[in-house]
Amino acid sequence: MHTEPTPTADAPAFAPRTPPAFRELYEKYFAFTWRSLRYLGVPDSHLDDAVQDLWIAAYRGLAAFEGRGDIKTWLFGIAVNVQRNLYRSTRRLSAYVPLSDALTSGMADPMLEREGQEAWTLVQQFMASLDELRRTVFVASLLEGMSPAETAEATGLDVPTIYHRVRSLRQSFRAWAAAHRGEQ
Amino acid sequence: MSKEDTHWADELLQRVRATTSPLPEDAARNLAGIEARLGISLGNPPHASAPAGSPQPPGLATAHRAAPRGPAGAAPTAKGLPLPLKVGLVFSFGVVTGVIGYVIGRIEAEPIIPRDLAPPTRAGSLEPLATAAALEASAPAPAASQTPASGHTPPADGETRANAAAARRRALARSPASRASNAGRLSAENAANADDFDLRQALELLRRADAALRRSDGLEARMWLSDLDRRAPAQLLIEERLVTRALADCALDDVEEAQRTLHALERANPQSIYRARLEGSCVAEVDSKLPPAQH
Repeated sequence: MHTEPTPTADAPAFAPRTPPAFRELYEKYFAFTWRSLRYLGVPDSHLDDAVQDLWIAAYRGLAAFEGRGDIKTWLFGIAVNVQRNLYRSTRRLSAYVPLSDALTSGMADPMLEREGQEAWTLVQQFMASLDELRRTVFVASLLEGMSPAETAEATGLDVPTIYHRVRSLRQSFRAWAAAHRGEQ
Repeated sequence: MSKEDTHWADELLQRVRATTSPLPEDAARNLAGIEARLGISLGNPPHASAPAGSPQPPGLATAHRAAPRGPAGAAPTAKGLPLPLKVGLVFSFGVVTGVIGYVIGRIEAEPIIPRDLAPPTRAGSLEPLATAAALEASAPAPAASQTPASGHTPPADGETRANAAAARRRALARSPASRASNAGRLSAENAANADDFDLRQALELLRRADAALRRSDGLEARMWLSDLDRRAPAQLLIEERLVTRALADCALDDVEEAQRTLHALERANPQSIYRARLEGSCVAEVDSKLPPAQH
């Protein structure tokens, strides 16, 4: 039976009203922000710009953060905004925004890397069928493993709605994956 | 759906998670890019041990006010020069450094990235206060003798417009005692925030939500409204908030949620003049089945 994704237990316990050091945050959460932007649909050609935009926004907003909320959720919220701004600007430039291309995990095992690439392609195709809000919930909860409370804060929805949406998305994804299994 | 199908879907997600991490050079390359765009150095990583006697890596505060790299290193030695020339060199150096510092200060004062990219600071409570469900449970039934919190009561027979406006001002400028009684219904965390949160701040958040809606950005509008729900007293601008939330729900094609929000508005004030904003929205048909608002 599938278990609910558990939130990572590495959220730092910053003292209230003490802005955490930027460099420490960067070292700790860069991978998370990189993945999140990718999952949200930022193509490889724009990923460097997007992740830099995210961290520059975090740098400027950090002094006011005061450590009262979950910083991982806060960073995810910035990622959502960066992705949406990028989508609006690229939509003005061209009608077509390509899906993210090949993963570069640097894994030593080419078999695992190939399987990961195929899985990513399938997941991208599924997410392309979702509206923006459902895609954000899918990324936050099912890919990044954020808790319902964290996902609610990141998306502006309430927790019961998140539970409902996650359950619905999980069922939809399972049905979709089963239907497309033979395509691998 | 078979267990095998369930397992297969979970396996796909697991493979994606396992193979989507950045490389170490990705982090280093982008850190260099961030430093270049900000024009500052962000210091050594926390695990790196600094050599003895070397300057401490800047934290956030000092990095923000990092001294510009002026021409100090290029200052020529002044030994052996005539005194007037020495004075002139020192004066010139001071002027140049001051100009560079002023320019960098102006650059840092103007954010490269719009501030709106960083969501507003979150309070400790993660449960939005004024969700539709919460409002349906907690919205008080309007009493005949009670002025609604927003003050939007149509003038009764014989009541002048001036009296109605005065009643609205009284409702808005609530006394600390009545504000505290409202805060008593909030969680302890929100009670502390509500005392610091005034009408001007609430209007600003509402304005941002409206601006997002004008850009057809329902998600951003919802985020501003959720922040408002966490920080503001439950009844402050309640009708405006509910209408804006319903429009945000419609922008996200979330008709079911929009309908719940509309019902919450109906409970808060069946005669709300703000229902007019819902004309042409995704809940206009539902709204038409409710008793019309008396303007």
